[in-house]
Amino acid sequence: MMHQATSAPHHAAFQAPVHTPVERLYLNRLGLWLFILSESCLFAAFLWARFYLLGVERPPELNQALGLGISLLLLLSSLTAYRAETSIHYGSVSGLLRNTAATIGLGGLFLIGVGLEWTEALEYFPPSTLFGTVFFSLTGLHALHVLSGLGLLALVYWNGRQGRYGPGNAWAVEGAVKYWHFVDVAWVFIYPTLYLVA
Amino acid sequence: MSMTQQLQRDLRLGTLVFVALIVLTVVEFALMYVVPGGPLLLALLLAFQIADAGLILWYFMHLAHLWHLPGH
Repeated sequence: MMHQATSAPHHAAFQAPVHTPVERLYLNRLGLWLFILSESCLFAAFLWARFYLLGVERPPELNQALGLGISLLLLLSSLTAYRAETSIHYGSVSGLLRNTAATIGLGGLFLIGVGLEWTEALEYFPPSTLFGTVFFSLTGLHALHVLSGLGLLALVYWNGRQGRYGPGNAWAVEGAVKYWHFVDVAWVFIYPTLYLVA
Repeated sequence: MSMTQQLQRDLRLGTLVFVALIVLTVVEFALMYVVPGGPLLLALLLAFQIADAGLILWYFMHLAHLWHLPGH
């Protein structure tokens, strides 16, 4: 009884803030950008470690064609992700589904490419070497983000098929697509840092 | 401008940005063979990385939307 008597005024005093849908969208975007900023710091630390540990040293055995190929694949997946988001903002569910499926497929191909690269890398510069440590840490961290992005996109595709998105209700699509673009931006810095600097 | 035309315009913009990203990446790749290694290559690659990231942040991630609330 005593506990009830003391806790009741506390509940009465707390008023959850009421946000309009526009304010909620703004807060969602702000929260996602802050999350992306914090993730960027993580990638920046890993990128910095590459230069700190190795300078601009790069082994000649790196598969340059594969590196460029998977980079172009990821850029293409950013285009399809953009088209998916744009489509749903104009009410095209078929455009959303088609482009989300394409993005998932391209992301999957990217991961297969990374797997191929790892197979070769294990032979020439295993994780026990300095470059191997940097290479597997950076590409592994990035591949984990790609994997989680694919999970989000698969969820968007599933919900899209259920008809849960429309022009005024597309925050989940926007959030997943923004995260996917971030994964692309991270690779834009990782690719030259690992493959091109000399 | 009808909604279909607006959609087509936005999709075209996305394709243009994609083409620019591809060109930048291929030039980056070519730089590795053209420019001798060292600070110059590093500076050029960094400039291309920033340009690439800027295009994605601005056009694909709609960074500007953070300052503009819809309907305001």
